[in-house]
Amino acid sequence: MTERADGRGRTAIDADGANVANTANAPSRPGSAPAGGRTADGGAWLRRNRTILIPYGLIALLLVAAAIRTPGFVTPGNLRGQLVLASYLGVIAGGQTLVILTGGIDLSLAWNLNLSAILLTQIAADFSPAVAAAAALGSAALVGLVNGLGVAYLRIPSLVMTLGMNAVLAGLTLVYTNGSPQGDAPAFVRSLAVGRIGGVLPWALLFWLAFGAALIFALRRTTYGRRLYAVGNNREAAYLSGVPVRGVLVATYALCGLCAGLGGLLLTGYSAQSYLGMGDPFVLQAIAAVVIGGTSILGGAGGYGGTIAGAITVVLLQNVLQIVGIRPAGQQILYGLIVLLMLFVYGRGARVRE
Amino acid sequence: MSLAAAPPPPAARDRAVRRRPFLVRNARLLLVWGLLLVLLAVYVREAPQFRPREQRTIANSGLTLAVAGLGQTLVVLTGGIDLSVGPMVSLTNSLASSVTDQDSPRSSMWVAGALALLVGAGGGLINGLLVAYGRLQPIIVTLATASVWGGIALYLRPEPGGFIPPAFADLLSGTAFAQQALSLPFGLSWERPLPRAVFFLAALVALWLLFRRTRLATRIYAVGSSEGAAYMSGVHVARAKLWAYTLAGLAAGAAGLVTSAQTSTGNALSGNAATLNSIAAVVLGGASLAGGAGSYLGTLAGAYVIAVIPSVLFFYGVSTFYQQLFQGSILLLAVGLGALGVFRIRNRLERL
Amino acid sequence: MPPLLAATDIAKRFGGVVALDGAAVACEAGEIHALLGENGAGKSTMVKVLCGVQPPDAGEVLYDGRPIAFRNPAAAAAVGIVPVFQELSLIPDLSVAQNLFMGREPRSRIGLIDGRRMRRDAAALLAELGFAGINPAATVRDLPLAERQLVEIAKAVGRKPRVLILDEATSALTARQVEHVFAVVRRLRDAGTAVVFISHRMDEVRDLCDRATVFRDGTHVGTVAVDGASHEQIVRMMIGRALREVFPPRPVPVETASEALLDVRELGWGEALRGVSLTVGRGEIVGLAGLDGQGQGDLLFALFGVYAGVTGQVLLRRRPVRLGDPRAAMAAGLALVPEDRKTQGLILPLSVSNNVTLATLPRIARRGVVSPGAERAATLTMRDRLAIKTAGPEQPVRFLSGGNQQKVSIAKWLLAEPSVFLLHDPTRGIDVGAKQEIYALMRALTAQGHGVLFFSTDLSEIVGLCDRALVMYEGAVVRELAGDDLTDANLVSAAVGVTETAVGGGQRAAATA
Repeated sequence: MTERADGRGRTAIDADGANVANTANAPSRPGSAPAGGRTADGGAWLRRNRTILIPYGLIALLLVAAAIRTPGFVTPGNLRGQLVLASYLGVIAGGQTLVILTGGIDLSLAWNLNLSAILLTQIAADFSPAVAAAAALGSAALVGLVNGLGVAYLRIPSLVMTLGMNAVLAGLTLVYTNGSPQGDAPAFVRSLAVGRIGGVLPWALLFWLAFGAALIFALRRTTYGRRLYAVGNNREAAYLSGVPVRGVLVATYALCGLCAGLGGLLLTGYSAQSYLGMGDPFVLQAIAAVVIGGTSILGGAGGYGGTIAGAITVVLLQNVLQIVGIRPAGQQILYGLIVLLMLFVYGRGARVRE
Repeated sequence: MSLAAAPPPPAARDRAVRRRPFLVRNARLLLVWGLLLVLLAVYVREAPQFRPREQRTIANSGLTLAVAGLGQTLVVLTGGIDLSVGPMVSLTNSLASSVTDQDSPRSSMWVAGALALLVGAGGGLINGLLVAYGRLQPIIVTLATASVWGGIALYLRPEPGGFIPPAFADLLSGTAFAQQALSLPFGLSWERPLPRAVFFLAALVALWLLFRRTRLATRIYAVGSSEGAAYMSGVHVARAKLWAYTLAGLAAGAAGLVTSAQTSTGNALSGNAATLNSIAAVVLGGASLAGGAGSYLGTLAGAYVIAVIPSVLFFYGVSTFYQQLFQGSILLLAVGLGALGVFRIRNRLERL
Repeated sequence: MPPLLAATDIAKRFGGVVALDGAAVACEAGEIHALLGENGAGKSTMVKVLCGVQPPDAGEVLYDGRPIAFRNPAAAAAVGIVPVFQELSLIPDLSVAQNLFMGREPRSRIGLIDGRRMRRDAAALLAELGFAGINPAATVRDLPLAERQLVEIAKAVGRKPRVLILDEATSALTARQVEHVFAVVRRLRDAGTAVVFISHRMDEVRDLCDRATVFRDGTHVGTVAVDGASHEQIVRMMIGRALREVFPPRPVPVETASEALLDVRELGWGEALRGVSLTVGRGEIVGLAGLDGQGQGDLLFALFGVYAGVTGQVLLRRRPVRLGDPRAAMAAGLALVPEDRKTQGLILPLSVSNNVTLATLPRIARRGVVSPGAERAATLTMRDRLAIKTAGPEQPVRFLSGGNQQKVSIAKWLLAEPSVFLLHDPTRGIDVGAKQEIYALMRALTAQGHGVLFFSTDLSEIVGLCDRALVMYEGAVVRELAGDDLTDANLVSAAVGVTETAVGGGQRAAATA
C-alpha cells in the first residue's frame, strides 16, 4: 500500500532528499533556521517555497492583468474593497484550512454559515444584538462539534458526515424561516463588515488581521497546532504518542463551524440582511482558497498563510472575470479548472507500488 | 506437474471455516428492502387510491436516482466517491433540452439521447483519468468537475425551459400495455397499464447481475477492498478505477435523460440533489464507503426509500420544507448505524 | 545446467538507504533455493526485484538466459514467476475462489465468469493440495491468518509457476501445516519448478532446501549446499562476526528478584493473549521470544492500552494501570516504541523537534503555548544524548537514516521519563552501528533504573542482551529462560519444541512449561 506520509507528493523535494541525508553527518549549525533540506540551489528554494510564491505570484499576475484591461482598477480604494471581500472568504476558509489539515473536508459550511446568518437577523429582531450574535456563533460551533463527533467517534467519512449535515441544516433553515428569512443585520455587525475606522481602515480588515494572526499562532506555536499536524499526517503514530486524536478532531470541526458562523456574520453585515442560499458559493471558493494556498488536501501540510493569499486570489479572480465579462457560469467552470490545476501543481499521491 | 499424489489432509479435524450464513451476509440488503416494503405498504394504505397513475408516479419517483445510483455504487465500490453526479445529471438534462428540435422531434430525440450518454461517459472518463492516472483525491477532483459541469449546464440553459419531445417523455416515464392486455402463461393476463419505469428497473437489475459476473466487476471490488493486494495480484488498478468513473458518468448521463423525460423541460439545477441522494442511496443500500463491499441491489432499494419518503410524508401532512431535512437525516442515520460496528473493534488503531 | 532465474550485481536504494548493492542469486529448475540473511539484509527487496514489484537501480535479471524487466507483478506472473508474500496479497472482501482465480477466472462462452465452475475448480485445487477445511465460498476476511496463508500458497501454486518464491510464506502456520506445505513444495520441485524459499526458521531451511544463498547488508556473501554446510558456518556467513561481541556486557549481579517495576497478571485479549503473567524488575531487560506472531506484539499493545477489552491486571510500581488507554499507560510510566517506525513510531514529514516533543508537549508548553526555547533545548539534549545525526532540529525525520529515525522514536519516549520501556523490534532494518548504539542505550537505561520489556525477532539479540527471556506460543508464555539457560538452542527448542506438543492443544503446551 502507499504510505500516507508519502502521499503528500513532494517528489520535487525528494530529489534533494538524498543530498540532505548526506550532509546530515556534518555538525549541525545551532540556530539553523528554515525547515527541510537546505541547499544553495535557487531552484530548490523556489520549489520549497512554491506554496507561498505561487499564490502571491497569481495575485500579482491578476493585478497586472486587471490594470491593463481596466486602468482604473488598481486604485487604493478598489484594492481596499477587494481585500474586504477577501476577508470574508478568508475567515470562512480559515476553518476549512484546519479541517483539511486533518485530512478531512467540511461541506456543511454552506448552510452552517447560512443558518447562523439567519439566526442573527431573526433573533436580533427580538433580542439584543449580542444575544443574537452569540446564538448565531453558538449554533455554528455546535454544528461543527456534531460533525466532529461523527467523524472522530463514529469514523464517518468527513465528506459524508458534512454532506448529510449540510442537507439537514438546509432543511432546518427552511423549516425555521418558512422559506423567507426575516430581520436585518444589527448595527455592530454592519460596522464590522463594511465600516471603517476614521473612514480609512476597514474594520473587517483589522478583524481579518487579528483572526489570521491568531490562527497562524495557534497552528505554529500551540500544543493544539502541533497535535493537529501530527493527526493530519499520521493518526496512528499520533495516537501512539499520546495525542488525543479524537479530541483534536472534534475541536477542529467545532472551530471550523465557528469560522463558518463568523463568515455568516460578516456576510450578513455586508448585505445588511440574511437570505437563503447565501452560503452556497462559498464551499467551493473556500476549498479553492485553501488549495491555491498550498495546503495539502491529504492533510498534514500547509497553513493559513497560504490560504490568505488563496482567498485574495479567488476574490481578485472573480472581480477580473467580471470585468472581462465572463458570466457566473463561466466563473464556476474556471474555479473548478483552477482547483484541478493547483492539485497538479502542488503534487499528487504516490503510485501504488510495494 | 502432477500433484495427484497428495497425502491425506494434515488434520481432518481442522476446523472448517464456513461461509457466513445467508441472513448474516445479506443483513443490510434485507434491511433496506424490508424498509422499502414497509414504506410502500404505508403509501398504498394511506394513498386515497392506488391506481395506474399512482403506480406510475411511485415507479418514476426513484428512477433518476436508481439510474444515477448504479454509477455511484461502482465508484464507491472502488473506495472513491463521485460528487459530480448531480451536476452531470443537470448538464445532460440541459443538453437534451437544448438540442431537441420541435420540427423533427423524433430524430432529434435520438440525437439528444446519444449526445447525453456520450457527454456523461466523457465526463466520467475525465474524472477517472484525473483520479486513476492523475492520482488525485476523488473528493476534490469530482468537487471541481462538479463545478465545471454545473457551469456548463448554466451556460447551456441559463433559464429553465427548452423542449423535450412528448414521445421521449412517454418512452421513459409513461406506461406500457395501456391499450391491449398482455397474456401471461397459466392462463393469466395483465390488463392494466404498467409503468415503463418497471421495465427499466428490471433492465438495471439484469444489467447488474450480468456485470457482477464480469472480470471488471471482480477487479472493481478487489481495488476497493485492498488496492495493494489487488496490485500484487496483477490487477490493473488504474484501469479498473477508470472504468468505474466512466460508467458512473454514463449512468449520470442516462439519469439526466430520465429527468428530462419526467420533467419535460431543461433546468441547469435539475439534478443537483442527485449527488447527495445517490450517496445516501448507496449508503442505505449497505455498501461500505471504504470500498470493496456492497451491491447495486441495495442501492436500488435505497434510492426508492429516499424517493418514497416524501410521498409518504405528504399523506401525513408534513410540509415539503421538511424534505431536505429528512433526506439529510436519513443519510446521517444510515452512516451512523453502519458506523456503530466501530465500537466492536478492539484494536483502537483500527478505529482512529 | 544454467539457472532458470538468475540475478547478478543488483543494486537498489530507497532514498538514501542502500537496500541492495552487488546482490546476486541464481536458482535452477528443480531446486529449492534458500535466501538467508539477517533482518534488513535485503532478502525481501531481492524478491521484489525478482518478481517485478521493484525495478532494480542496477544489475541484471536473467530468466531462461534472457534479460528481463517487469513493469509489474502481473508481467512476472505471466511468464511464470509467482511470489507468495508475507504481507498477504489476498483481497479481504472476495471469496477464496475469487482470490484463487484472480485474473484467470474461468469464463463461459459469452465471456461471463462461470462462478460455479470457479468454485468447483477452487475446491479441486484445495483438495489436491490437501488444504482441507477451507471453503472456497468463504470470504477471505473471515479466515484465520493460517488459512489465509494456505490460500495464498494455493493461489500461487494454482498458477503452475516455473519459479515459485516463498517469502516468509509459512510464518503463521502450525508445524503440521508447514510439513504439509513442504510436501507440496517438494512435489513441485520434483516436477521441475524452481523454488526460492525465505524463512527465519533455520530448521525449515535445513529440512527443505537444496542450496542456500546468504545475504549480508545487501550484498551476496556466498552460496552453499545446505547439506554440506554446518549451522555455525551459515550463521557466520549471515552475521559476519562472532555473535557475542556486539552486545554490551551485562551488569554482573543480575538482580532479577529486585523490585518489580512492571507486574502483569493474567493478561488476556481474545484468542491472541491467554493469561500472560510476567514481571519486569528495576534495571532489567526482559526479552520476549518465540516464533513470529505468537502474541508478543499484541502483548506490548495491550500493555500500552491500544487494545480494548483486555482482561487481567497490570501494576506499575505497585499501582494498577487503567487498561485500554495509551494516555493512562503513559501517565502511569509506560512507553512504547512500536514496531514500524515509519507508520507508527514517527511522523515522517514533521521535523525532528516536532517528533521528539510530541509525547511530552505539555512539558514544553505553558497554557497550551509552546515555548520555542524549551522545545529546542529538549530536542538538542536528546540529540546529544542519543547522538542523533541530523542537519538540525527542524529537519524532517524522513530525511534521516533508519537508525537515526529509530533514535528519534526512542528519544520521544526518553523525554517522557517512563519507568518501563516496551520495545517492539527496535533494531529491525537499521545498520549494525546503529544497532550497537541502541543496545548500549538499553543497557544505559537499565543502569539508571528503568526496566525494559523487549521483543525481538532476532534470537541473537534476546540471547545477547536480555537478563531473562519469556518464550511465547499462541498467546501464552510457555517458558522462561535466564542465566546460563538463556541460549540460542534453548530458545529455539522452547519455541519450536513447544510447537510439536502444542498441536494437540495450547493448554497442554502451557502446562509443560
